Amino acid sequence: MPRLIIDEREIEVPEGTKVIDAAEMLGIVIPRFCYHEALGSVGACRMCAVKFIQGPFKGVQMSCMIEAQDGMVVSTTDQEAVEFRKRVIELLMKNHPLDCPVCDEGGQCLLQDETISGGHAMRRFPGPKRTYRDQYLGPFIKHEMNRCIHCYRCSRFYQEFAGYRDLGPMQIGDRLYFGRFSDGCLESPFSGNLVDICPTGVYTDKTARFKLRRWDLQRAPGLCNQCSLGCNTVANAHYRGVMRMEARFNRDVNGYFLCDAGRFGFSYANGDPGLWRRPLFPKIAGEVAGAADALSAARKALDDIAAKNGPGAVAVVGSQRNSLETQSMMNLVCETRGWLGPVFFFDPAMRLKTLSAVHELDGEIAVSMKQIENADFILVVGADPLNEAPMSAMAIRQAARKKAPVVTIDPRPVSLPCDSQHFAVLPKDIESYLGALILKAMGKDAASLGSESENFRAYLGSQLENFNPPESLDQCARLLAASSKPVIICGTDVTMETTPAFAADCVRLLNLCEKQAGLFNLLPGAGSFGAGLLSRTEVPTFADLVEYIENGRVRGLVFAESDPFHCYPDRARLESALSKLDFFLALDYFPSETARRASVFYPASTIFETGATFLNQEGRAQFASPVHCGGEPIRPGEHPPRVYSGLVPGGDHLPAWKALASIAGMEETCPDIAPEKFVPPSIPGFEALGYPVDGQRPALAKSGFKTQWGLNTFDKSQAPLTFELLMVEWIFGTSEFSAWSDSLAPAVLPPLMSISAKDAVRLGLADKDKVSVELAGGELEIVVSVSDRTAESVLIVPRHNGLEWQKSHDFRVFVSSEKIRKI
Amino acid sequence: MEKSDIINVSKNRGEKGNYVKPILKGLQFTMGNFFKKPVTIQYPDQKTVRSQRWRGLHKLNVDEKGELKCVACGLCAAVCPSQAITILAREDEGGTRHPEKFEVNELRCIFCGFCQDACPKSAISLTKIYEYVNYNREDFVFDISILKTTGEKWNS
Amino acid sequence: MSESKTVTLNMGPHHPATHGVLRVVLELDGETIVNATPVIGYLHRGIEKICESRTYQQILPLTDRLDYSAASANNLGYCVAVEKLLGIEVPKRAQYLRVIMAEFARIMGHHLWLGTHALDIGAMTVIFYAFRDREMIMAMNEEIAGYRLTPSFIRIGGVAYEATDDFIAKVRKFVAWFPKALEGYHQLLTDNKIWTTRTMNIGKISAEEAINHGLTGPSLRGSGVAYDVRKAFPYSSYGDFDFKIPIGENGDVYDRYLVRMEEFKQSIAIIAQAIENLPSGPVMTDNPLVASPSQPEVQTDISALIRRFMVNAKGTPVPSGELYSAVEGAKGELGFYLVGDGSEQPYRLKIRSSCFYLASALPRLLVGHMVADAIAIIGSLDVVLGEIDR
Repeated sequence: MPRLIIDEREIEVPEGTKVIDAAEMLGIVIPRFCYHEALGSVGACRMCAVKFIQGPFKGVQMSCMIEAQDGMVVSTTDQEAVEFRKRVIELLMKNHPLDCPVCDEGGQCLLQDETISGGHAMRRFPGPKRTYRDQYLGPFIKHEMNRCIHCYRCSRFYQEFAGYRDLGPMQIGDRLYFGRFSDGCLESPFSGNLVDICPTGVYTDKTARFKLRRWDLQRAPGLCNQCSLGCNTVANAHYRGVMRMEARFNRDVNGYFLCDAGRFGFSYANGDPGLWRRPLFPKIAGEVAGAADALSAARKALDDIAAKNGPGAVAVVGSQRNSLETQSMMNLVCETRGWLGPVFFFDPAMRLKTLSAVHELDGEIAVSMKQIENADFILVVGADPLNEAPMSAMAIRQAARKKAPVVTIDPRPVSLPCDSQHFAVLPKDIESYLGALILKAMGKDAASLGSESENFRAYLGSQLENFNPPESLDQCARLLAASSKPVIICGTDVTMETTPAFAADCVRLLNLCEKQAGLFNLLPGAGSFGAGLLSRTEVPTFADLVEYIENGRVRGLVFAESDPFHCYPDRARLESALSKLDFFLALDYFPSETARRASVFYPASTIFETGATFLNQEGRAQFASPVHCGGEPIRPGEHPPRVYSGLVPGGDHLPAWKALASIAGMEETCPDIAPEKFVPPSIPGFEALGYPVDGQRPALAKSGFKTQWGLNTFDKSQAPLTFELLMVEWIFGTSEFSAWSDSLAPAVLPPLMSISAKDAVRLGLADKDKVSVELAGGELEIVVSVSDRTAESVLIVPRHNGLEWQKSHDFRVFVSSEKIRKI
Repeated sequence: MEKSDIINVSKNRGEKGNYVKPILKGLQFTMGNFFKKPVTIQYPDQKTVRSQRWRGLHKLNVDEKGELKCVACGLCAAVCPSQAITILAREDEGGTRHPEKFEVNELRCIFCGFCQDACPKSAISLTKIYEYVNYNREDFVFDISILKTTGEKWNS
Repeated sequence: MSESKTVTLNMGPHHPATHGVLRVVLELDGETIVNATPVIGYLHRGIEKICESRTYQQILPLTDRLDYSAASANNLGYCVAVEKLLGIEVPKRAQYLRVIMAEFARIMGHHLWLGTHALDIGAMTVIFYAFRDREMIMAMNEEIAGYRLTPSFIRIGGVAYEATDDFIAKVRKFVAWFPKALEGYHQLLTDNKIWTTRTMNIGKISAEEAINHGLTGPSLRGSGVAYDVRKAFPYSSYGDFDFKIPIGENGDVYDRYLVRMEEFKQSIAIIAQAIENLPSGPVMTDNPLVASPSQPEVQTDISALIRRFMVNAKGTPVPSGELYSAVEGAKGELGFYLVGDGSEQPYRLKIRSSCFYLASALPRLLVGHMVADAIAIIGSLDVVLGEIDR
C-alpha cells in the first residue's frame, strides 16, 4: 500500500493505483481528456500533467501514466504544471470550431470545462482550422468530426472495451480521423456510450438532437427496466417529457456504460395527444373519462362480479415489467379480497424456470456483473447475452480481455463481442453438455464429494447416460479445471424447465472442488425476480387462466402493466376469451391492444414519474427515483404556464399499484397505504432494510443443494425430422418497450429465421430465402438466415413485433419438415 | 474617523427667523425661474431622444439573406434572470440549427439587457421602443414573427 | 362619563405620505400618538430566496429593485461583496465610474426624499426643482447604461460599458451646475419659519438610542454619530477622494434634513474629483471566470466563445465561504451577507437593509407626537419599501 503526498495531503492507496486516481480519492480532480477509469490510460492528451517533486519521478509527468509509489510528493497546482496544462489546452483548441452555440454538448462539455478551468482565455494561433467530412453513423449517433481533440477515447471504448471493429482511428498526425471506412450504421449495440464518453461534441445523441440544453433538464438517478439487469441510468426530462438517458456509474451493475436499447428506448414514456403514442387519459368503453369516474366504474364492475360469482371470479394479471411495488400490491389485493392471482407468468414453463432461477440463487453463488468481469472462465448456457441482456455481454467481453475462456452452449447462433467456443445444441441437450463438462473438469471421483450433493449427482448421472460428448468439450473441461473463479451464465428463455436449477447445482458442485464458482441468471424481464419471489404455487399461469375464462370461472380481469396480446402465443383464442369476460380493466402506459380493448382503461405512470423498486436478476434491490411529474407534455411556449388550469400536471397518472389499491378499495382497509408499509413485509429480508432499498441483495435464498427442482423430469423427446420452433428475444424489435418507443424503430432489423446449415441443405433452402412455415394458426412468412452456429432441428424465430408469431398457438411448438415451404 | 473629516451642520442652525422674509426669498426664487425656458416637454407630442444603449423591446436580427441570425443556442434563455425567453431548436435539411420557437414574454422581462450581452451571434438586441400597448396580456408574448419586425407596430 | 379612550388609526399602506406601501397602525389619544406599529411586507418579492436559485450574475438586476430610488448603490454593494468572495480586483477606471454612479444614486435618492418630504409637510414647490435635477441624472444613467431608474450598470468585476464622451461632458456640466440648484433648495426651505417649526425638535433621538436602534446613514449622523461606511471601511477607491461626513447635534427631523442637504454637496464634490481624475484603462476585470468576452472576440475565437458560454449559461463558480460586506447606500449601511458553497449560485444572500432598521425605530420616534408630525418623521427617515420588504 504506497503512501504518497498530493498537494500537501497524505494518502495511502492500493497497489497499482494511478496518481490521477489517488488524487481523485482526495477530492482533487486533475483535468483529463483521454483517461477514463474504465478504459485505462494511454497518455494521449497530455492534459493530466502534474509536477512530481520528490520520489522516483521528477518534474512534470502525466499523472494517468504513473502508478502511485511510496515517497512520492506531487503538486497539481505547481506553476510549471499549470502552465503546461494551459498550453496543452491552447493546442487542443487550435482546431476546435466555433460550434458551441449549435453543439448539443454545450453546457456539459468537458472541453468547455477544462478550457475555463485551465485559464486559457485567448486564441493566439492565427492560422486556419483543420476540417473533416462527417459520416452517417446510424439512427442514434451524430458525427461531427471537426470538434475532435484526438483523445482516442471513442476508439478505445469501441474497439478495445466493447469489441467492435467498425469505428476506429484512420490516418495520422493532424489528419487523424475517427470514423468508419464508409457511411453506415454502427454495428455495436453499445454505440450510445460514445456520447457519454466523448469529452467534446464529436458524437452526440441523435434522438435528443437540438432538443435540450443540460441546464434545462430535470435529472434523477433512475434505472433501466428493459431487461433483468437493472442498469443504472440518469433520466433527463424537460417540458414533461423524457428527453435523454445517460449511464449512471454503478460499480457492481453496469459500470459506466449502458446498451443502446436501454439508452434510446425511452420515448414510450412521452405522451403526445396528437399521436397514437402513450395513452394519457382514462377511458371507459373507449371514451375519454375523468380519472375518478374511471376508477369508480372499475371498482363497481369488479365488486359486482365478485358479489355475483364469488371473489375468485376476478383475477389480477401482471407481467415481467411490474415494479416490486405493483407486485406487492397485487399480492396484497389478492390476499385481502380473495381475488385470483396475482398471475405474473404467461407460460407455465417460464414460471417454473424463473421460480427455480430465483429460489436456487443464494448469496454464496450469486455474482454481479463486476464479478463476471473478473471471472477466469465463463460458461454461457442457454443464454444469448447480447440479445437478452446486452450489458452482460459487455461484462463477458471484459473477462475475455483478461484471457478468460468463454464457452457457449445454446441452440442459437450466439455471438459475443469476444472469442468464444460455441456448442450448438438442442435445449434438451444443454444439461448433458453442461453436466459432462463439469464432471470432466472436477477431475475427482464424484463419490469423494460430500453427501449433500448425492441426489444431484444421481440426477446428473441419469442425464449423462448414452451421451457421447464431442472432443472439443474435453479441451473446455481442462480450461475449466484450471480456473479458480468460473461463472456460469444461465438463461431462461429457451432452456428446459430444469436447466436453471441444474446450473445452480453445477455451480455448487464446482464450489465443492475448491473453486469460487458463481451463477448469473438471465431472466425475461425487469420484474422477473420479484415475480419469482412473490409467485405462489397455487396461482395459475395465464395459460390456465384462459381456460378458466373459457369455462366461465373467471368473469373479470385486471391487467396491471400487462399486455397478453404481446406475450400470449394464441391471438385468436385470446380475443375470443377476452370477449367472453364481463369486464376487464387495463392499467398501463403502453398504447397496447389490451389497453385499446379494455372495458376501463387507466393510464399508469412510468418509471420516470413515480419511484419504483426493481430486483434485478441477481436479487439486487434498486430504487429508481422519479424524474418529473409527467402528465400532458408542455408545448413550446406554454412554459411557464400562463393560463390558469385546474388540472395538476400528472394528476391523472397514478402508479399501477396506487390505481389498483383504489380499485380494490384498499384505501378503506388501510388508509395511509404507502410502499413503506406493504413492500417490505412481502419479501423476506426486506423488513430489516426498510424502504426504499437501493443496492443491497436482501432477498436471496439460503445456500445449499435444493434438488427439488432438479429432480423433476420433463418430456424431452422430439420426434425425428421435426423442428422445434424456438421463440427468442432480440435486442431491438421484440420487447414491448421496443414496440412503443419510436426512438428505437430505426434500429429494428426485419425478422429472420435462423436454421443450421445442415438443415438448410436438407430442406433445400439457402440464405435469404423466403419461407412459409405452417403453424396451427396459419402460415408464417419469414426470411431464412443460414448459420453453421445454429443447432440442428430447430427453427429460431424472434418474437418480432413485425411478425405474427402468435400464430404458433403454444409456447412450445414442433414443426415437421413438410410444413416448411420455400416461397 | 478624523475630526477633519467631519462637518457639523447644526452649528449655525438658528431658532429664530420670521414668516415674511423666507416667503419673500422663496418667491424670489420662483420668480427667478418663472421667465426661464421650461425644462419640460409636451409628451407625447414631443419626445426626448433615447440613448444608443437604450434597453427597450426585443428584436431578432436577420442576416444579409433575410434569415434569422439566431441559432437557438439558448444562452439568452439561460442567462435571463426572469425566465422570459423560451426557445426550441430544430434541425433543417442541411443539419444546421435554427429556432423552432423563440418567444419573449415582454411582461416578465425586466429589461436588464443580459440577453443581448450573452448572444454570441448578435442575433437578439434591444430596440429603443419604450412605449407599447396591447389589449391582451397574451399579446405580449412575442414570437419569431413579431420579434423579427419589432417596432413596425409601435413605431408607426 | 368622561373615560379616556384611544382610537386606532390605520395609516397606509396606500397613503401617499408613507412613500410606498408602509402601513403604520397608530393608536391615538386625541391627536397624540400613544402607540405606533409599523406593518411591512406589502412589497415582499422574496428576492433573497430568488437569489438562491440564480447565478451571481443574474442576481445583479434584482438588487436594482431593492432601494429603487438609488439603484446603482445597491449594485455596488452586491458587486463588492461578490468580488470579495471571488478575490478579484476591479480596474481603477471601473472603480471611479462606480463611485460616480453610486454618488449619483445617492443624489437621486436624496432628490426623491427632498421633494416628497417637503411635499408631505406642505411645501409644494421643492419637488419640481428636485425632480428637474433628478431627471438630469436619469438622463446620464440612460446615456451610460441604457436605462434610467434601474441601470444595472455596475457588474461583477467592473462596469457594463465604457463611459461615452457625451456622458463625461454631461457629468461635467452637471457638476458645474448643481451647487446653484442646491442653493435654490436651501433658499426655499432652510430658513423658512414654517419649515423649521414643522421640523425642529420633532422626532428627536439621541445618539445612543439611534445606535441601539441600529440606525445608519443620515438618520444616525443627524444624531451626531460620525459613522459612514465610505470613511470607516473604504471600498471602491473612496479613500482617494476628499470629502467630509456631515453630522448633526440634535437628532431631530431638521438635523436629518441638514445632514442630507450637506450630503448633496459632498457627493457632488466626490463626483467632481472622480470625473477629473478618471484613470484610463479597462472597465472590466480580465478574470476569465467573470468577464464575458467582447463580441468580435466571440465571433472569431473559440476560447472566447467558450468563456461566453460558461459565464452566461453556467455562471461564475464562487468559492465557498461567507462574508459580510457593506456599502453606504443613500439611506444608510446596505450590507450583503453572502454564503457561497462553491457553486455558481449563492447558498444564501441576506440583505441588511438600512431602511428596515429605520422603520423599526418608528414606534420610538412617533410616540408623543401629533399625527401631522408622523408624516414629517416618516419623511425624515426616508424609508424605501422596496428595500425593507425585499
